[in-house]
Amino acid sequence: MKEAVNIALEETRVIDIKFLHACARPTVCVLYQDNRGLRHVKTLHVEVREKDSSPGPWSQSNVEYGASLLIPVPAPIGGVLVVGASSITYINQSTTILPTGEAAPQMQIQAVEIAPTLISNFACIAEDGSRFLLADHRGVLSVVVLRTNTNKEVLSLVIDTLGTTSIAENLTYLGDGLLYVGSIFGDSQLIRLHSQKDADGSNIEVLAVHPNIGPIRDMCLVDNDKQGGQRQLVTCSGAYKDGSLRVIRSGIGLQEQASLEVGGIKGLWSLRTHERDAFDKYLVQSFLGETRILAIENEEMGEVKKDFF
Amino acid sequence: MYAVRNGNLELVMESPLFGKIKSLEYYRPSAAVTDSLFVLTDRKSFCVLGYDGQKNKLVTRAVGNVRDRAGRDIEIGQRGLIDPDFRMIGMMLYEGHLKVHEKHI
Repeated sequence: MKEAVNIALEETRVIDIKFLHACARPTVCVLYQDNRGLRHVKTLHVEVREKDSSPGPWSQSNVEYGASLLIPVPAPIGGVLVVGASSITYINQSTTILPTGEAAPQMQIQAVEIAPTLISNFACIAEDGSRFLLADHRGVLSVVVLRTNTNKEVLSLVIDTLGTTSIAENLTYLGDGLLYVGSIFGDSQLIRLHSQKDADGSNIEVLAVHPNIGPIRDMCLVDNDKQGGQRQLVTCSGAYKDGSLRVIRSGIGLQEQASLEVGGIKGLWSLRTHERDAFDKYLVQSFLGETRILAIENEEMGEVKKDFF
Repeated sequence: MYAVRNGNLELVMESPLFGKIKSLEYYRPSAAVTDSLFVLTDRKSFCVLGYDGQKNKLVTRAVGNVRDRAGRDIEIGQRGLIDPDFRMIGMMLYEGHLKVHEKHI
């Protein structure tokens, strides 16, 4: 790898920084806070040769006070979504042809109000960049839709709440409506998004869960019987709405293949025809009044009617 | 590393990594068939990984450390950012600076 170059940023406090899509030159979008606590967004061209940055195509001062996240929008729409605590704003710059025939830059700004929250993560779920999932600090999953005209200019933003998941540290969209919610305070989940809401008003179906016992704030050892046989560890796991008490014990995990009720069985043995056979052939079942022998013949198990005794 | 099969996640392979991962970003180099994964750790070491499907192994395409002698760690948390057109990899490591590398991997 060749040498990496440091580009100085004059912004005192960077809140978020992302590369923009569909730019002729590498361009970053920076959300920063100034010395008076006001937040602004600016774009910068990154010049590796000059080891410097130059002003980008546009900037927007005084965005929402609680703006905390930038979502770059893919081509062909382009631009960026500035996500705040009470609003989401779309910002881009397009070129319009004036009546004089000159091309002039024009800012496109659309905004939508949202219920107060802290959105921490996003995932793009449409290839054309028209839909994004947003996860907040309470585990609420929402979708923001960019409504565009035929020129791919954003006309409005629409928000819908999809449901609740574990508090997301990371969202990864896997395609086909599948989303992986990586969580540090709760169990990570693989969920399927449905276009129809279910009886509880949720579009979310949890398909699989990866248990997470951390972070563990406290734990204690519990002795179930005084012989010290089965000891269990009880932990205070997780945090916030994903907090839980978990019981951990050591043991061998069992995977149930099949189950059958056999009343009155007292003993069970497996036998093979010859010591050197790879697999067992007979299953001897001992009941109070009789003994039954089952044998495996061509993948099927059936009763053997032979005179053994 | 998991594969999505039949609406479930199946473990494909596991590989230990020495470090606390701060950033994972994938990108597709121009001539490549599969994505590469850019990994940044809290000690400012990085690696670029590819996946060999035949051998079911991770392939290291690049590795190094981007720590500077002087610099205040960035408050918002270390992160990597990749240009969507894959012209450069950016890293926010220190206050007041964006470290960039023009990609040639």
